[in-house]
Amino acid sequence: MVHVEVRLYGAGDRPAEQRVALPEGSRIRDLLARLALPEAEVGVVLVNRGDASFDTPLQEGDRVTLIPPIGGG
Amino acid sequence: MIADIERLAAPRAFPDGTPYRSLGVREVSRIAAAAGVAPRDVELAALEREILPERYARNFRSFSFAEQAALLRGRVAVVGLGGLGGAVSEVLARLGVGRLTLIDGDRFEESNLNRQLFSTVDVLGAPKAETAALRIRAVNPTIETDPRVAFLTAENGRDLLAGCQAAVDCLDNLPSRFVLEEACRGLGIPLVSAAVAGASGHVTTVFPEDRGLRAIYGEPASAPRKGAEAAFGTLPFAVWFLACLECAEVVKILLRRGAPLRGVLFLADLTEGFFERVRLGPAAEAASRPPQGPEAPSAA
Repeated sequence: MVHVEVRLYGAGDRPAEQRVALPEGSRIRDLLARLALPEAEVGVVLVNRGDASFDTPLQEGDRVTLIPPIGGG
Repeated sequence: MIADIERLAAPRAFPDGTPYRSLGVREVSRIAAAAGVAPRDVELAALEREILPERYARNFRSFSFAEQAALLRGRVAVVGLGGLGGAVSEVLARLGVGRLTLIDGDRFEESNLNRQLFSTVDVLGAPKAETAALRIRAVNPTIETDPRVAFLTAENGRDLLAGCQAAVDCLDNLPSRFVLEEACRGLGIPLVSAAVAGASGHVTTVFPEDRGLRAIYGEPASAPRKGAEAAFGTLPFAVWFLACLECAEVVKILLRRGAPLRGVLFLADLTEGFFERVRLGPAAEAASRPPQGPEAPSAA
């Protein structure tokens, strides 16, 4: 298993921060499925504060930041 | 004019006791009227002689005389005069950014009242650009405003932004943000862009050669029109917070001082207390392990 720290911006009713355990070899896409977070609700994905994608593989201790599309002013 | 400036400058002292020569708001107006010049020219002439217009006294020494003059010589476009744009215009005018092009084709409505600085009950239905110009005139009549009651489009963008050293994206939908970014690229000027949903938001600065908003929203064709704000609204404390960060970016650009947030997204969630800088763009991916390079400190 790999353990990742997930931070969700604009979380609404979801937890804004949580630790998630996933099988080895999991990618961001698998994390989103675990969180039941539709890909359309994620605008920017970051791993360890750097740009990532839904295909980025996850490693033990990674810090994942998920940001919804934000466009208001 | 110079003789009048020298004659009417008054000796004062900063709170730490440092003496300086000060030119009051009324004196600036009086000298400008007598000389038949713009108040901005009076303030610029005073600053050249190290006489500080009193309205900028609390900008000093964070800004030198030369830097205050550089702000006064600046021309910046504020695109969108709602929540972000109202606060941005107000702060830039108080800072002393000398020329503001104020662009919005919209009129004030009741749902603006939670966050839009220039929206008051008595201006409901009034054009935002004209209302903004009136407010700026009341706050700092030295600032030369160019209100444009129009929405920025691919057709008029270059005309609306002509002569500006930077544009501030204060829009409320993603397609318009991309149109603005293209116009800035065409003119070769930097764009400061912020967006808000609920208590969350982000800000970045895009120079013409940067990947820019695509690094945040993907390709324009696939980007949604609205983001999470469609569900969560736009909270005033988040809007004004992000607006102030945009102003800090404008100052960095105009003064060529400090490091603008290029290729960096500053993120904030004011409910959770999250504040962090993250790297944007494919070049950053390789650098994302190991984490916490010097350009990515977190205040969270």
